[in-house]
Formats: sequence, structure tokens, C-alpha cells
Amino acid sequence: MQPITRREFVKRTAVAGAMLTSIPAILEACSTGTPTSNKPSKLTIAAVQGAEDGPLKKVAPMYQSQTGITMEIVEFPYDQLFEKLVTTFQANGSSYDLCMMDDPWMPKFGTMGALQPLDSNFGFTRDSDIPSIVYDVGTWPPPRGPVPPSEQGKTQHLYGITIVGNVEMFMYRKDLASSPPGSWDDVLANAQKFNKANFYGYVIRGKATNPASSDSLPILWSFGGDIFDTSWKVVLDSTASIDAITFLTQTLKKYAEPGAENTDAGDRDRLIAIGQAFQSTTWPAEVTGVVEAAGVSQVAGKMAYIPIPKGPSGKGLGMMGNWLLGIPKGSSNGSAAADFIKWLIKTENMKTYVQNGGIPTRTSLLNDSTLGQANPYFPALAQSLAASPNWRPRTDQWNAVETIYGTAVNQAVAGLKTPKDALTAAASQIRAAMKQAGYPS
Amino acid sequence: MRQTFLRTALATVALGMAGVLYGFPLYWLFVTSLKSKAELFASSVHLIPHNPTFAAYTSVLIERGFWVLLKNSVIVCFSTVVVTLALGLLITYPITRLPVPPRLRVNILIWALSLRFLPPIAVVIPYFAIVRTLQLYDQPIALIGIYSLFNLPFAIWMLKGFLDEIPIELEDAALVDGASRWIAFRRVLLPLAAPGVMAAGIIVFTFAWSEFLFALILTATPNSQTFPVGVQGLVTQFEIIWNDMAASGVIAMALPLVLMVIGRRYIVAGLTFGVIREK
Repeated sequence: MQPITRREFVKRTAVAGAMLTSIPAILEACSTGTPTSNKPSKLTIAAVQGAEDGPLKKVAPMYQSQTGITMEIVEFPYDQLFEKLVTTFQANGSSYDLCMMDDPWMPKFGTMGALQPLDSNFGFTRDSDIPSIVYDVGTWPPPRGPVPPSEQGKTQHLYGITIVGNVEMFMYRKDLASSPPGSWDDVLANAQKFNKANFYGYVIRGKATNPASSDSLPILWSFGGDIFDTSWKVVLDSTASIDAITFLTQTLKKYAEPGAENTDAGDRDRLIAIGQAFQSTTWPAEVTGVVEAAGVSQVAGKMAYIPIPKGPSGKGLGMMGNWLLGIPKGSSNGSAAADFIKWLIKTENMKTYVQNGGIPTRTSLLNDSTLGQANPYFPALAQSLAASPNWRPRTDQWNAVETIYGTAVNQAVAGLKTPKDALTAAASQIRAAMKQAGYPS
Repeated sequence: MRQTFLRTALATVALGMAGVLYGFPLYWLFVTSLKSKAELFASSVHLIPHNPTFAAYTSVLIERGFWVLLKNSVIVCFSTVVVTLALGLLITYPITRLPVPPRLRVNILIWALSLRFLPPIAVVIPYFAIVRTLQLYDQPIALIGIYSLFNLPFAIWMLKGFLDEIPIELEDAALVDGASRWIAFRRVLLPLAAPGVMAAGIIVFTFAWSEFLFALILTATPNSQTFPVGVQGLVTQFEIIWNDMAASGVIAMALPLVLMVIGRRYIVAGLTFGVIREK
């Protein structure tokens, strides 16, 4: 190799530097940019990893073969999906054309103005075969219940369409019990009756934050308790609320699995599936994935599914956990994304979706006896949806509230605090957080 | 004689126990990756899978499409190694071979050391903002940049140690024979420093391979997501997919392990380079 002069070295370095700095621009140019035509080559969906997006992954190739649009499904775990979406929305990023959203996230995304309205922009209308609560949960500001102060007076729009019709239900061993528990007193009586060594009368999903919150809210409501009243006043430290959490974390806990404070849905399903527990609350996504999975579960066909039992309030209130599809504002492929949602919720396509493990929202499919044979929870889900289950408080502060509440319940389950102390402290924290966010707490 | 036998026996038992202690988790990981979902949900635990299957590997690589993430990891890590070593040599060569003022030399080394002490979490937000401004979000180059930056101090200090040990007289001889500095570097210094460069490269590769924080924050789609980002997604809201996670663990271990086996001679030579020094 010929020796080079210092001047030549500097020149070559400058050229190399210029080439290196241009790499990002070249990469950007090579990547899939904003399409100019109405029909994009690809739609990217941000989805939650697990049983909720499994059926979507199975039917998306059908849409791809019909339209020629590549469907890319990017999966994230539950918590991370929320964070990823918030980050993307704040940047008005175009990474995703569609996003899966848990229904308690709607207030946050609605308040942020992060989504494209499906009704005014893309002509979505309500379908009588889908319960109105399903549309309500995708509408912002909420069409019923308290509206956050900052959102009052805003025009309502539909921002999300449910594709996973989750409602929290109750499951028990029908091969052991002669009749379904009608109330939480019956649940307690069954727990006492069937509890024995290596067989737990009840399974508590008591892991801190979201799991403990989801597990306890239906009980809280069924006992007449709540986190907020209709004017956003915190009532978590009311007698009814304390009674509900005392029932779960002390009375029922006597018959629950050891280490309930660390138990999440996966652990609960395992205990049920290996025949070591009698009953618990459940989500539809847990049923087909594990509890009723042939060749995996030892109790397949032995479980019954019913709406949440009644409490002292005389009501049994299930909790919505719908997963919706929405179109981020940053997406430049809104029309194509809307077409995909319309395609997915058509009866015949939703039927295929259900046959691949999907959880429908269409009443006709939930009442379809053929589909019901493979999905024994369908009648209970249809009943729960028809009874207008509760949704979690429609506030953009829900994540903070859930963290405080779910931690307090976990502390009570673990025996670190009495239910009264845990809820009183949580109520104070929630009051402070809501006041700071401009709510009249 | 008897004492020697006892000592050997004790050492063998102790080493055997240490081997089991270190080896069992790896064995359990591998065995779990071969179990079906039905076996994982069995009431009793099996040390040896009853019906071993590679379904978890197919599930991870094909059905979940993690092979794309694996490809991204390989590209990002190899690029990081190339950039880090190139920059490392560009910095260490002058401070070890050229008449650089001692104060400058010390300052450069201290700067490198301070970078090493910097907790990655401290720069996540500013780096994220820079990446977004430069429109590099969800591009592999954003990861290559930050990985190279964080591994550079390690490379500088390691390479400096190696270059210090190579007598400068060898290069001087080449220069006297008419070679340019570049030729002397490429034909004399680099071959002699090869074990050290190789060792540094492999270690930088393994650091980058297992990085998670930046990969999580700076990526959004399989366009740039690396393997660790995919693996953590196997803990879902309602289920931990144990066999797929175990298969991912085995796959994630495989490449660094193969590199270590291939380059073990260089690594050992590199890490022991200059231990016995003649003055």
C-alpha cells in the first residue's frame, strides 16, 4: 500500500465522515416511508402479546391475501404496550397504523387526543348485534357516568372498536358442586366445604397493582363499595369498600392458596388446570388458553362459567376488560386501517376469528350453540355483556389510581396492613393525586 | 500418598458440586425448552422430558418471527464491535505510540473511565430525544451508536493494555525499512495485537448482545427490535410461556457461547497478555 500524505488522510477522513453521517438519511430513504397512494403496502398493528392477540395473528393473513396489504403485528407485553403507545402518541409517531388498547386506557388516549375518530372520519355506526356497552367503552368522552373535568363539553366520538369482548366472570368446578354459587356467601361456603390439603377452596389473584385491582374490583362493587362516587369524590375508605376488601383478604383468604400476594393469572390458571383449586374469578382469555385447553388441563370440561356472584348490595357486577382497535392520529394510513377494522368485525370474519380462539362481541356469535360447544364460557359472557358490566373509572389518571389501589389490596392480601388501614392510606393518596390532576376530590 | 488421594478426592467432590450448581440451571433451561405445554402443566415435575419436542424452538423462531429479531441482534452487535474497535484503535494508537502530551493521554483515559461509570439510565431520556430529533427512532443505527459509546471505554482500556505490551521497536524497525505508519500498523502492530483485539471484540459483542434497556426504549417494531426485547414479551398478562422462554434462552446463549468456544484461545491469550513482563 502506498503511503499517503497528511492532506490526503484528512481528505479521506472527511469523505468517510460524510458517508457515515449520511447513513441515517440513506436508511430513512430505504425504509417504508409515507405512502402516496390510498392503499398502503403494509399496515402495522401494535398488539398485546398473549391470548388476546393470538386470534388476530391468525386471521390477519386472510385480510392480507384478500387485499394484498401486508399485516405486520408488533407484540408487546401488557405494561409495555401502554408505555410504547403513550411514547408514540406524544411524538405523533407513525410507527403504528392500528393499536390494540385495553379499555381503561381509552380515557388517557382520549384526553391526549391521540386517536382518529372512527365515526366522523370513517363512517363507523353502531351495529345492533353488538351490545351498546361495547361501543360506549370505545367512545370518548364517556357517554355515561362521571366525565373528567377537562373533558366536559367535548363532542363525543367513537375512537375504538372492541375486538376482544373480555368481561370478568367467575369459574368453579361443576363436577364437585351441585349448583352454581349465587352470592359471595355461597362462594365462601363452597370454599369452606371443598378446601383440603393441596386443594384450595378459592384462588386469589393478589399480585400487586393491576392483578390485585382486577381481582378485587368486582367484589368491591358487589359489596356496594367503589373508588369514586359519581362526582369523583373518593369513597374507597367507605364502610362498604372496607367490608369488601376484608371479605376477600381475610375471610376468603383462609381458604386460598399460600402466597396469594404473589399470585397472578398464570399461577391461578395452573392451580385450576392441575386440579388443585375449586373456584376463582376469571377472564375469557384464560379459559381457552389454559383451563379448557385439551391435553393441557386436567379439568377441561369440568369447569362452569357464570357471571360474577351477587354481594350484599344485591348486585353481581362484572368488570369490562375489552381490548379495542384504534387508529393513531400519527398514522397516514387511516382509511386502510379503518377498512381492516370493518373487515374484522363483519359477522363471517368474526366467526372465523372466534374459531381461531377469538373472544367475540357479537351477540349472535355468543349465542351460537356450535361455537358455544368449543367455548363453554360464551353464555356467561353474553349474560355479563347484556347486564352492562362496570368499567373502570373513566379518568386519564386511572393508571396512577390503579397502582395505588392495587398496591393497597396486595398489602392487605399479604397481611402487611389491615384492609381498613390499607384502604384509608390508599384513599388519601388517590385524593391527593386527583386533586393535583384538577379533579374535585 | 494417602493425603494426596484425600486432597484429590475432596477437590473432585468440590468441583463436581460447583459444576452441578452452575450446570443445573442451564440443564433445566434446556430441558424446559424441550417440554410441551401439557408436560409443563403436569402435577409432577420431570427431570427428563417424557416427550421431548422442538416445538418451542419452532414457535419462537418461526411462528413468533423471532428470527428477524435474532438477525437484528447479530447485525447490531457485529456493527457495534466493528465501530467500537475502530474507534478504540483510533484513540489508543496515538496515546500508546505517538508523542502525545502525558496530560492529554491521562485526560483521554479518565474521560473513558468516566463514561464507563456513567449509569446508562442517566442518558436514556436525552439520547431518546436526540434519536427522535434525528429521526433514528426504531432504526438499528440508534442502537449501534449508543452501544458503541458505552463499550468504547472498555475497548480503550483493554486495547491500551495490549498495545502497551508490544515493543515500539518492532514498528520502528518497519519504519526504518521504509514502511509507512499505516503499513507498520497494519502489518506489524495489528497481527501482534490480534489476540487482544479479538478478545476485546468478543467481550464487546457479549455486552451488546445482552443489552436490554436501550433496545426496549429505542425500538418499536421488528425493523430494529433485538432478541432480548422479544424474549421479555413472553411474560404475558395471563400466562408465562415457559417453554418458549426457555427455548429463547437457549438460542440467546448459543451465539455468544459458540463465539467464546471459537475464540477461547484468543480470549485467554488476550486476557493474560503481558501478565509476565520482561523489563
